[in-house]
Amino acid sequence: MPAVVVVLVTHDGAAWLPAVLEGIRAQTTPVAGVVAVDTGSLDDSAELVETLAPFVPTTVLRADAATSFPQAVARAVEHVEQAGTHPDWLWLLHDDSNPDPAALTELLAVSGQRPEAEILGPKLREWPSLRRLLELGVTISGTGRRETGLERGEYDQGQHEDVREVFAVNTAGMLVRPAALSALGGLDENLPMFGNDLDLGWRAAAAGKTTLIVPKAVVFHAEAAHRGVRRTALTGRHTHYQERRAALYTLLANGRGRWLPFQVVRLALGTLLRILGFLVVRSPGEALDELAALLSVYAHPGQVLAARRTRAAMFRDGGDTDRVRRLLAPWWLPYRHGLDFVSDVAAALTNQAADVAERRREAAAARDPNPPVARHRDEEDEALADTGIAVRFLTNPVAVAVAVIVLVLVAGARGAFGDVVGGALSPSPSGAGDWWRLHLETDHPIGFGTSVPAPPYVLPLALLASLLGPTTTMSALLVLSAPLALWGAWRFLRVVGRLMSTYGAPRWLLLWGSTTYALVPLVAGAFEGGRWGIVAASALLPWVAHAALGFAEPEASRRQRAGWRVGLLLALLTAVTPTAWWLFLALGVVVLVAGNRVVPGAARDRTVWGPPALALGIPLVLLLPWWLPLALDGAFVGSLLDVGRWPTDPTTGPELVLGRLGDLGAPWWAGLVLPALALVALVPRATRIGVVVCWLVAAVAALVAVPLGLVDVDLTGVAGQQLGLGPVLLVLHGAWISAIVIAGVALRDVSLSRPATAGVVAAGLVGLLAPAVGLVWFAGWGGSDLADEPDSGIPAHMTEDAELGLANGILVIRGSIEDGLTYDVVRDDGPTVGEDEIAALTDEDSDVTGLLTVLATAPSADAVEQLRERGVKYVVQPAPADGDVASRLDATPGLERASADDRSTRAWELTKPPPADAVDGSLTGWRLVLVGAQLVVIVFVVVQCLPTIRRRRADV
Amino acid sequence: MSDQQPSGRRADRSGAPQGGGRRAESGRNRKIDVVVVLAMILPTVVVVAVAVNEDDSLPASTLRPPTSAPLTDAAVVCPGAAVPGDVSLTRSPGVQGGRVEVRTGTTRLDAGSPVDVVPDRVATVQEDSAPVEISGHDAAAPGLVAGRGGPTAPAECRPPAFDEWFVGLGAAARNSSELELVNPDGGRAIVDIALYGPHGPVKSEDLRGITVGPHEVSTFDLSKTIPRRVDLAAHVTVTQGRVVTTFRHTIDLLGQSRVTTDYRLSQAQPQTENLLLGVPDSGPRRLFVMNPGQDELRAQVQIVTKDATFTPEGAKDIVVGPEEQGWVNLDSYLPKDAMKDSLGLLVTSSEPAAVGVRTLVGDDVAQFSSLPRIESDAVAVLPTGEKRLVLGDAERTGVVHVTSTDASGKVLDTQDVQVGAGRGSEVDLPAEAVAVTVESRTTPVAGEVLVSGPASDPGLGVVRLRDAEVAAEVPVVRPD
Repeated sequence: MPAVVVVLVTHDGAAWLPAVLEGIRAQTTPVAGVVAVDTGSLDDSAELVETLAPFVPTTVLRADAATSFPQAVARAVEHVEQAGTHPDWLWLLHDDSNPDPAALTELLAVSGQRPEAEILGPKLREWPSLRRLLELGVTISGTGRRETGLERGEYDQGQHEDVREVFAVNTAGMLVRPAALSALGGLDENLPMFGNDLDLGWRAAAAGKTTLIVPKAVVFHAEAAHRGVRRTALTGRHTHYQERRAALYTLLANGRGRWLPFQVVRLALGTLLRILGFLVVRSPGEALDELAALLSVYAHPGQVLAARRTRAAMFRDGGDTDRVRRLLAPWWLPYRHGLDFVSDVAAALTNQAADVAERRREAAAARDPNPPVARHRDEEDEALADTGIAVRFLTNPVAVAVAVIVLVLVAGARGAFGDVVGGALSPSPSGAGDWWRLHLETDHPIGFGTSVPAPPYVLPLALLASLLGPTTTMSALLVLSAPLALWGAWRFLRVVGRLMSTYGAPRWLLLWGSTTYALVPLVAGAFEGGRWGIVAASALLPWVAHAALGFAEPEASRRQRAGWRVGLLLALLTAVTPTAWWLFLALGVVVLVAGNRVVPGAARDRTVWGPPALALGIPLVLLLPWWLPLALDGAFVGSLLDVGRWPTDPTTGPELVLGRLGDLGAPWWAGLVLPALALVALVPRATRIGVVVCWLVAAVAALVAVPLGLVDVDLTGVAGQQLGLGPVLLVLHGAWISAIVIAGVALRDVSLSRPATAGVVAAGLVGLLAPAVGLVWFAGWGGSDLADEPDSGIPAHMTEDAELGLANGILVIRGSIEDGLTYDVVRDDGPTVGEDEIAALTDEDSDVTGLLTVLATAPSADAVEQLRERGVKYVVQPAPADGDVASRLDATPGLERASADDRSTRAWELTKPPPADAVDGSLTGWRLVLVGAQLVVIVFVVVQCLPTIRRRRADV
Repeated sequence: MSDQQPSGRRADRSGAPQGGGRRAESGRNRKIDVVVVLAMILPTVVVVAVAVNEDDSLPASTLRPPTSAPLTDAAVVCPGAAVPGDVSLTRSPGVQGGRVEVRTGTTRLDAGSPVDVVPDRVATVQEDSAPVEISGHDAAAPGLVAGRGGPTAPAECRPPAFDEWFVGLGAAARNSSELELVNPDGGRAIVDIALYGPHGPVKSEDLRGITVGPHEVSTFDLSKTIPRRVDLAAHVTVTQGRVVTTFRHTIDLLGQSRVTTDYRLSQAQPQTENLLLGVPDSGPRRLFVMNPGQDELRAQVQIVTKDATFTPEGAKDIVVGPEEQGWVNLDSYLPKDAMKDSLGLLVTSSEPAAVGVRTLVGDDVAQFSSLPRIESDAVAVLPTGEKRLVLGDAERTGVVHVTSTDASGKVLDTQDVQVGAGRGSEVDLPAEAVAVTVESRTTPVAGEVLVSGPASDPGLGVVRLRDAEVAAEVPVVRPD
């Protein structure tokens, strides 16, 4: 029988040692001796080990607390050699690793079958749970991650039972030939606590030695140091720092020489990415550890180079590179982990607040001594939980219906595929850079120059367009908004249903509600009218509402998190429909007042009113670079309008009730369904409170609509523009749909009389009408084409030239002397999304108007020169042109007639082109500071919003 | 929605098992009252709020009428004479007047001697055939009025226009129109002329993009440029610079060895109501109706008398296809004697139309065209001869003050003429009068002077009353 000496390193391990020692004593194959090294334990670890002496020959060596694990092992090996025992094997154990009685037997059995193996490792299972797998050999990925190849928290069900060659085994339970250990130079002392096993494994592989994992041998490991349960002078408080430092050191010390510079760069970039990841999950400590580890390794290149020299001396020709490469983790593994992380975050994001009903119920149950009512799982979940995804989809009529509806919505929006323009939607700019520029500039080269700030949606559009390009961004916004709205409404209504009833709302009702909601902006005519802000807002609103349900969380911290989320989403919503903020302000006040009536004193609780106040405050902070300059510029009315190109048709109260924007949209009679059913929804008694709350929201929206609908504002070039009613329309109809769904929930729990059943059936049939008519209308007529774009009448060659330089402006004069003249300057690719609003909100420049009056009545060379200095290269009078003005311009020196595609269009070119720097956007310091601060705050808020992901570490 | 909090809490309670006990039961009863009240109030609030929001007002009108400013530049062109005659000049009352520049020439306008032109005097430019351009600057610009020619073919001297319609043109050997384009400016002018016949547009590439050099005169004989036997209408568009367009129409009367020439009068824009005053009540009279639109047009002819305007019995609608010029002979179209004692015709149409009447009065061709409205005091320079003034198109009842003067400004006659909506008025003017001033204080009117030729040269001349350019119109300019 081979002689095995246990090398046991202990440090303050009294909590685990009795069990560990018992494990050693109980080995079915007795050990030849135990050499323990105690590194300055403050407890009685050393004494405990000595209790083993009566059963096994035991030596306890005492070292000071600064002794690292490699040093401790080296000292034990030295002792063994000096003692002259010459064991066949050394069995390394930690003071928190408890071997199963058969562990050594199994290890030795395999060593007998595989004599080439010089290092063997057991299967490590979690201690004290005993069932979860920790490691079956480890390897290291290109980014330094410790890879076990196991799922997180995977249970040991005998699924990994094959003996196989691995890259490295943990030092807890490692059976190693003393000769091999000394040939490899022992454990690297530069790795005091963590990662030294990987380094040893790497060197062993490079030396052509075989490392085997023996799953039948089991060692239970508490991972005390890794989990931070035990703090030593060596680990300090920052175990993550130590682990990362070890990983970086191992990679750099053992990696192939040729790849070293590349590896240095890659690890630095990877570290930055990981820092970002840790910030995202709000773990700034670990992010700092990452940075510190990188700096620590990179600041001591000598250490790495010395280690490389040692290894180079050890293995000539670079060692057994084939074996190393075979056993290292595959190159793609880090990317898969990245993907997993992103999908985890996304899943957590969409699930946030979804269980608010559950948690409220749990909290209520905790207060209530009576047992809670069990929530019934949806029958579909039960029946089909184990079948394949395709089968589950096809056998689920609701899923099939959702898919068909989404297809119809996308097909209906075919008019928005590709370059989309029309109605209130201006053309997209040629590149994302244009939007970035618009957002950064203080003064814009639009018209004759303006300091009106970029609208708030320009930043999100710029971000999206940087990935997709501007054209695709606008297309995607218009096409995907309806499916997104449907998804959001589904999730919102599902939670509302669960709040109302333990059973939740039936799926067909959710389908009705979410489909009807997704159709609200479409049948309203927002799509065909190019009112893209309303379309985008319809997709955001249910998510805002869904997040706002978090205000009802029983836990204050969750309410706070909901405040951040609602705030961020509300900022986005406000960006596309600025009046939404005012509407939510009114809603917030009313709901808080009402809430205080129901639960007196609730409004004084900061954790109750704080989160909604935070949510309302966040848009103000995030959108500061928009509304502050807007107010300073006297264009604050821009914060009360729906976005897009004005003018838009006014919407009256009745049209609002029918869900139609002016004369646009589906047949008006289909709009009667929702208000009628919402009234009927007040009838069932069981759900009346919920329905009344929805009506409260509707009433607030309707009241907010009164000042918005009655006030007209005169903008530059736009007379009598109505303020923005888009969000009111969405909230009004959203509230009604919620009311109807809530009332529908009541039907599940009650048995009805015959007439009542007939009434419900009738209401159901009428209710079906709304989505059915909407879908058919939208698929057939509503979305195929946006309103036609009027021809600008500008000759094509001028448009092309204008794109070559900002100074090549085209002055467009329309109208007649009889009816009044209007002027406009087209620069670059004309007014694109965002620029249109800036131009309309810019106050009339009386100097320019005076100059234009002179040009129209008694033009002179001097007036033409002034035009030139203001960056005008062409003057165009699109048909029908006023001949009096034209003939005067014909006779003006400095203007030369230019050709026009249309014979009735009059066009001139200035004989002297304008100076190239005649107009230009300007960047100012304070604007950059404002935008910079905005970006930082956005990152901060986003991090605050992200779900809490506590990843349990599967690795050691 | 952030309002779910209270509902959630209460829902929890209401969803709880029924055995909630007395306290829960009584609490619910109390709340239900409030809920029922709210269930009635809240929908009412919504209804009231949306009912208030009834602002269906369309955006304010975007039409902004111009303001006026002193006129600083004026040009009037008298076309080449149809019958020889000098150019007479005067001004509308109330302006200062001054020295004007004169240019004349048959192909190129050359500077002649300047002439002083003041109100109440008629000055003369001694040039009896070639086109004459009169231009004034600053104080000499406002109110310039000119006339030329004898009683049977008085020329209409006009400032340049950029968009005009002419009807009743001919391009046949014996019934032909001559186009004259006069450029009064120092830059070149480009003119597009589109012709329309009874069956739609007539191709006339030679009349597209006609370039008229600075101060040049271009003439085209339509019978040579585009020989056609049908009557034509023309749409003149000046695409660059300024031009005064004139069509002289010549009829070669078969077997009478007599050639008669007169001017075709322009119409600034097609209208749905065209008033043609002074149309004779008998003789060969051809009514032309040009439809520039894309839809079929139906026109009715009404007869204007000094008492009323009425539709004659039995007259059918005149139907004209898109972009076509239709015509009827009034002799056969109107019932016999329908126009007896009439003062003219009012042609109303379903779509805007350009309208004119071509007639022969004692072997002299004469043209009647839609009359422009005069908004201010109008002065017309007249040939000598028997003459009468016909007025119409008044908006309301009023009195028009008519003053006839001779060349030295001596008042020969003053009359007050009653005008009224829907009827015409007529007054004889002294034969020796060479200028007439028409002042209407209460209503805009339209009018023309009909001059009869002497017995030696019978015929009829038409002088339309026009507003003289007194002030410049300054447009309201605003950003778009």
